[in-house]
Amino acid sequence: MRGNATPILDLLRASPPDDRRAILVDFIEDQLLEILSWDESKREDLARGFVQIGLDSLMAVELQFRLQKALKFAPPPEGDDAEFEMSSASDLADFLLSRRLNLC
Amino acid sequence: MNNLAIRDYAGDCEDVAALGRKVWTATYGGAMWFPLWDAAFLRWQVGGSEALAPALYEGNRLVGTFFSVPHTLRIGSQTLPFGLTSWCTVDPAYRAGRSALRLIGALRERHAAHGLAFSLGVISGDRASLAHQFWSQYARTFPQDLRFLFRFGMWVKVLDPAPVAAAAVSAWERLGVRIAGPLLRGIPSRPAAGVRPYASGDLPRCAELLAASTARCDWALQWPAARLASQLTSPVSQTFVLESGGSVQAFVNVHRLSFQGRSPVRAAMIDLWAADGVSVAGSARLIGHLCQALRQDGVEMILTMRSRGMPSPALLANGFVPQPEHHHVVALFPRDDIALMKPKTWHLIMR
Repeated sequence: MRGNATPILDLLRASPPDDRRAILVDFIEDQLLEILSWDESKREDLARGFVQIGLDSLMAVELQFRLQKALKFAPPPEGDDAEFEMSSASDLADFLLSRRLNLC
Repeated sequence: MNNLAIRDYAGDCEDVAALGRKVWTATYGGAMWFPLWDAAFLRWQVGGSEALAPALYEGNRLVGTFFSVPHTLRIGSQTLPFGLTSWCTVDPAYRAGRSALRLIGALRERHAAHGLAFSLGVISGDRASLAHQFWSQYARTFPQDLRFLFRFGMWVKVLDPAPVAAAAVSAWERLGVRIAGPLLRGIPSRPAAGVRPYASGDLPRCAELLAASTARCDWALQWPAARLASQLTSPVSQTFVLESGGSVQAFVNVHRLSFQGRSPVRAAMIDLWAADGVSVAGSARLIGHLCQALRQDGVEMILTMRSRGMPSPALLANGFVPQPEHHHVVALFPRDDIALMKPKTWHLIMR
């Protein structure tokens, strides 16, 4: 878990490309733990995927909002709700790095 | 969960009604008022081929809905095709699949395919309600897709205080109905002179009255003859007209539905009101006649939207009480957000 105040976007930009995915997955999982009101001990469960952890639409929109705000990307264009097709934090991290952040 | 698929709803609406009743009662039962749409009402609204009705199925089992009925809205001097959207329901057991978002996406696709500029829906309940939380977060995250436009309140008339007080969701509401209910339940005890049930021959005159009554509204639903005919008389709606000198001077139209608080209440919603040169006393007579007819049919509460087009003095004279603005009109856009200014005056119906 990231315990410091370095903005995630700065951290991603400053990190070697090979490290970015792990950093972003970690960040997404931090958000999920908060949204789900889970404690740190359940972090490993997040790897089971969004459906399996019970991520509903309200939570998914909350996650999207947090990611947009932290990663400073605009709401996706009309009709593009690809984020919601992602099935896990690692899928979502891959998608965001390549499609929203151009940090691959 | 793996068999979930979105396809256009096909059925007799019994399953839609059962799903809504089950889900909404589990989610809001006793905490806020909500409508219990029955199958007859749903068939009336979405049973035709016009409705855009994406539904979520697990196999053949209905587990989610989000429907819209295309209409035309006049905004100033421009008319636009749009949808009246409602019935957003997902079985809690299937929410983990982000089902509501999939249904929203499916409905927006259908809006775009049908050339609808936007759709309007109503979000009721306080900020803590699931619906309010979800839609306000959605609007914050996707401001180009969804906008809260304006708030409105309702007029409420209690016809039978005991069941309405028993169903009230707060102690204050219960107390208010118990104290004021007996005073406000009073309505004329005899049928009003000149008031009679609508007949199909009244359609052209009612259309004329409605067009004239809504002509000055910034926003006004348009009522082609076939739609107005279905609105004025159907298995769940009825209309009374006020006649003078052989000519219809005013009409009022309601539909029946139940509302659920702590318990169900038989209710009716006034959808349409139109009048031409009718005095306050005449308007009050027509509303009073409606109240009496509904009470005789076992209706316990009447509601209507507080809009400029409703006859406030006649409603007050019949014991209707204005309620705070707890309802939000929201616009969902299929493509580009269009500039929708908050209207000062509007004529809409609530679904």
